[in-house]
Amino acid sequence: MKNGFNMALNEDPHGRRFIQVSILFFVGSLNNSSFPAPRCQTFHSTSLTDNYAPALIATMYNRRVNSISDVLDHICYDIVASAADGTTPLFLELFKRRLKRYMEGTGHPPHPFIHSSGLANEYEIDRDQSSSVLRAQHFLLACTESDLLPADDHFKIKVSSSSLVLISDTIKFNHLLSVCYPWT
Amino acid sequence: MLSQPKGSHAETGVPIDFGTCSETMTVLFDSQLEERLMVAPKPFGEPYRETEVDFDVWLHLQLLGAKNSFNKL
Repeated sequence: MKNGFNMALNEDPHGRRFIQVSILFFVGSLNNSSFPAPRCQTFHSTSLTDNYAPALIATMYNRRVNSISDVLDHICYDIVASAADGTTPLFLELFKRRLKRYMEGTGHPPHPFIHSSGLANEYEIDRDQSSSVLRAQHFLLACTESDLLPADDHFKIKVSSSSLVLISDTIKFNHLLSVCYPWT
Repeated sequence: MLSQPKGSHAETGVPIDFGTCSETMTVLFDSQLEERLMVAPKPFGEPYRETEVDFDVWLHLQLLGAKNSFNKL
């Protein structure tokens, strides 16, 4: 059985606001030739105040990533410590550009390992091949543990980089990049 | 042949756990990543050879690895 629901802010004839929740029940399976029509049941809440209801609706709605700018525009970059050779800002700038370009791609990169690794199955790869926001969703998921946009419209994803300098026969620079959410 | 990513820096063997601290992710930039950043990006849609792992593929594998680790929680 698969279920779904919709929420809407409504008003009764007396001007009192309420949240209307419509719950959809799909009973049966797609393989069943006698797949029954979905049933819809509506519940009217009575205990929510006028102030609480709009906030709840705003939180529940429009949290899907619709374009890569929904994520990209909320990334802030920072350098915690620069490498002695001054390359950190250059690599960070390069990282910004490559991250933006990566997100501009659609679907999964056509690499054989992505198909063979089991990290994404063939169904997902076919389903997402024309998705222009798949990569932004994956980035958001890695940073916030959700592929939905945070409820706070002013959320920030902080990208800070620092350099770990190891001195040996040759100087080797490693850059530590921390991606933190939210901005603190 | 690539190995299964276990964290954001699996290729170099540095374990990074995406799931232990919510809202935080760390990635280690090493010389390999610096080299990948300096390689011109492949045109979109052009298929990769098995041994080609540019920045896009590297990042995508790390993000898929993170997604799969969340799914196992």
